[in-house]
Amino acid sequence: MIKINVVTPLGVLFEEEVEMIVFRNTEGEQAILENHIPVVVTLNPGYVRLKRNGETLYVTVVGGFLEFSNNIVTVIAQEAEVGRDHENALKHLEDLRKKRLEENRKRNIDFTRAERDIKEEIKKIKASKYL
Amino acid sequence: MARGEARDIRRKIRATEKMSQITKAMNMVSASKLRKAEKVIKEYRPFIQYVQNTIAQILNSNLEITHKMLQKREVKRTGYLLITSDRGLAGGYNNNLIKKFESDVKTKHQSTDEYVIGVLGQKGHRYFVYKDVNLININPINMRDDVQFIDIIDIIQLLIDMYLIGEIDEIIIYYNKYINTIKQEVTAERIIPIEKIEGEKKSILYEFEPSPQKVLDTLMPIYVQNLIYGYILNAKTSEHASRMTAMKSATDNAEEVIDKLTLHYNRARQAQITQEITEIVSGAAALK
Repeated sequence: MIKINVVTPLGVLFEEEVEMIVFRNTEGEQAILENHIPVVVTLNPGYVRLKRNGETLYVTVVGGFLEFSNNIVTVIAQEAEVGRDHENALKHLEDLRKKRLEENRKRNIDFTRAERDIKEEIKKIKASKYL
Repeated sequence: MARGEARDIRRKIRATEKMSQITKAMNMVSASKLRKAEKVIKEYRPFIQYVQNTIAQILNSNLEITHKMLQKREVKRTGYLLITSDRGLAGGYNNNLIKKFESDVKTKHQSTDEYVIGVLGQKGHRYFVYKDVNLININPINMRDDVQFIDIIDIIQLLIDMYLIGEIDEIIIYYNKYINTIKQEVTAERIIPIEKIEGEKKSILYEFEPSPQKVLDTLMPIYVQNLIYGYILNAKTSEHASRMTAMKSATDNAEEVIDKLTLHYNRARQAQITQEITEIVSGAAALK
């Protein structure tokens, strides 16, 4: 059995024991079975496919790498998602990113608007002194 | 007249009480946010340690491999990254940083062409946007309390790219270093070029796919991005701590003001009573 850890800056995302992993990056697909030699692979972007009790899981990774030694796989990623299929995961990550940026943009606009209003109010208050 | 004065003072006392309630609430909010930020840092640490170890592993295993980010070169142009906050009311958090940065720049550079600035956080952006400096981000970059990688990746990538193509020759970050709850220090640290990557020595011989150089090429930007993210988390913790202290002292000051005003109020009230008695007595005397 191989132990897999998926680690992101937000902490450990996923921890499981699996029979086999297959990873895919820009170079192609490769499988790792038990007692494979220690290896470091970049995944940017890429995914790791896991087989566990006949069930297939995908760990989709953006900006990361995979390290294998002593039958322990560690996937280090800036962004990662665990799911049943790969295409949707990548899209979901993209969506999350877009949503967040949109939200930030809106916040900025709101902030600028609020700031403009307060400046106007301050001006009015100052003007009232000269009455 | 005395009656009006007493009423005015009472109104002032009430306003100050309300204000102190707000500052007290802000203090408590910051305290809980501080705890949360500390937790985020704790979860982030093993991650960066892991990346660092792997890079050290690659560099140790093969001496011929190197990367632009590890090589020092003559500095003609410097890239600065300043971490400020979105919101104010955090004591000297932003002011100290900007002051230190400007005094450092004055001694180090002759003209504004010698450096570029990237600013995180609205406060800093608003300060620099109308100044005569080379600002690389036109839009402000949010430093939300739940700051995420997505928010900051663009500007960091821009700085890294600028370094890689030779537009700038070093990247220096300015941030408020978190020492403890009551002490934060403005610190400048050079991020690129990286002088040394420390990592624990492992005796495992790895195979690198597709090649050690390619792995390193992918890992270095990731490492630097996460390093900067770490500084941001640290700065965020400082911000909460700084705001907490500022709000605590504001609450204390408000209490002091309330005490003083209460004294005045009582005096005014007494004066008013005395006046009334005098009026009644003199009125009665006039009737005699």
